[in-house]
Amino acid sequence: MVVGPPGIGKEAIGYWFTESGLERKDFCLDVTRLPAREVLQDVKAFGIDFSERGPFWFSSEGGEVKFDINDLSGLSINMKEILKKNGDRRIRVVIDVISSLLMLNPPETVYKFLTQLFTAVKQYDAVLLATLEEGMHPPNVLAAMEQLFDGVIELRLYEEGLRVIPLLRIRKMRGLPPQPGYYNFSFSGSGMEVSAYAR
Amino acid sequence: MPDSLGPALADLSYVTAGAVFLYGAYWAFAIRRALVGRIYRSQALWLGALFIAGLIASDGVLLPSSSNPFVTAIVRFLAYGPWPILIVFAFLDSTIPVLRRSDALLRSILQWKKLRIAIWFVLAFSTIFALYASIYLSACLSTANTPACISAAMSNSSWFGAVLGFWGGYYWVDASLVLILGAAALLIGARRSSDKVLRRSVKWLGIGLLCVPGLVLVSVVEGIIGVSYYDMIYSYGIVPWNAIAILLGYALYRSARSLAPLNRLPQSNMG
Repeated sequence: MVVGPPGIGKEAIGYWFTESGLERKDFCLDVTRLPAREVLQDVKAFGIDFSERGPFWFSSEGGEVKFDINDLSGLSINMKEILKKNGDRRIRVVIDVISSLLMLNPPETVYKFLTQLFTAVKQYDAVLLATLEEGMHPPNVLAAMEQLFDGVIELRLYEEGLRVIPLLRIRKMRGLPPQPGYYNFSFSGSGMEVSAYAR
Repeated sequence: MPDSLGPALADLSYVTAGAVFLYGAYWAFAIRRALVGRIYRSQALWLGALFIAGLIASDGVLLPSSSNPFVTAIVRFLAYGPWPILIVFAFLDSTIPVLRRSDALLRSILQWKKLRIAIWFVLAFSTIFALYASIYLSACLSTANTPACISAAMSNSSWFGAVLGFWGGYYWVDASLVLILGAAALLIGARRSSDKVLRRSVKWLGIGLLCVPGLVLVSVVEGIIGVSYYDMIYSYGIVPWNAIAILLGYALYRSARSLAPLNRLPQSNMG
C-alpha cells in the first residue's frame, strides 16, 4: 500500500507498476474510480502510453468492466472472476479506490471486502498495489488498513529550510527488518528513481 | 514643511505588500516542484501566478512610464487592465478539477467542463478589448494633451468614449462573473471534498477572495470623500488599500502552504 497526500506520486507508482507488468506480459488489472480517458491523460504526463497496450480496466467510464463505487459486492465478484480467468498468468492488480470506498462505506465493510479480496489475490499468487490518501481518514482507520497489507510505503512532503522535498519511507515490509531511513524519489521517462536521502 | 510621514507609510506598505506576494509565490512554486500529479502541479503553478498578479496589481502603479506610446500602453494595461481576472480564473479553473478528484463520487461541479469554455470566451474578448483601449488611450496621449484625451474619453458622442465606457462596464461584468461563479464552484467543491488539507487551502482562498471587494470599497470610498490622486497612490490614501492587499497576500500564502501537508523531518532516522 502506498500512502500519501494527493498529487505526490502515488498514482504514478501504480502506473509504472502496471507498465512494467505489461512489459513482462503479466496480466494487469487496474481498478480506478476515474474514467479511463482521464487516466490515459494522466499517464501520458509520465511518458507512458496505455492507448495501444493497456491494462484490463475496472473504471467508472470507458473500461472493460464498469466500476460502481456503491456496489462493493459486485466489485468483489467481478474481480475474483477476472483473477480466476487469468489464474495461469502472473497477475498485477492496482487499486486506487480504497479512500473513496472508505468515505462511502463503514470501515468494517471495506476491511471485510479487502480481507476477502486478499485471499483470492494470494490464491493466484498475484501482486496487489493499493493507494490511500493521507489526510482523509482517521488514524485508527489508517492503522487498520496498514495492518492488512504486507508492505506500506509512505510518501510525504517535508520542509527543509526554504525547500520542499518529497521523501519516501518504508513503514512496513513483510520479510524485511524495519527500514528507518528516508529516500529521495522522482519520476523520469523511464520510471521511478529512488536514492538514499542525506541532509 | 511638507508631510513626509504619508509617503514613508506608502512606501512601507508597497514594500510589505510586494514582499508578502513574492514570498507566497516562492512557496507556491516550491510546492509545485515537489508535486508529481498533473492537475496538482497546475493548481500550484496558477496559485504562484496569482501571487505575481497580486504583486503587479499592488505595486503596478510604480511601474516607470516611457516616452514610447506602445510601452506606455503595455504598462497601463499591466497596471489597470483586466488581466488579473484572467489569472484568477485560470487558478480557479485549475482548482476545480482538484476539488472534483477529492470528491469520492467524482461529481461534476456546476457543469464546469462546459461552463469554463463560455467564461474563457468572455474573458478573452474582454482582454483583447482592454488591450486595444489601452493602446488607443496611449496613442491619444501621445498626440493630444491629457485634458483633451480625458474629455474625449468622457464624451459619449466619441467612438473612443464609447469604447472606454463599454469596456468599463464589461470589465465589472467579467470580474463579477468570475468571482461569483468561482466562489460558488469553490464552495460546492469544498463541501463535497473529503480532503481536509484541500478544504483548509480553499478556506484561506475564500478569505483571500473576500478581500477583493474590500479593495474595491476602499477605492470607491476614497473617491467619494475626495482623496487626491497623489494621496491615493503616493501617500496616506494607499495605506488602507495596501493593508487589505497584504491581508489578501497572507491569505493566499496560507492557501499555498495548505496545497499539500508539509512535515518536518525528525532529527534521527536519517537514511
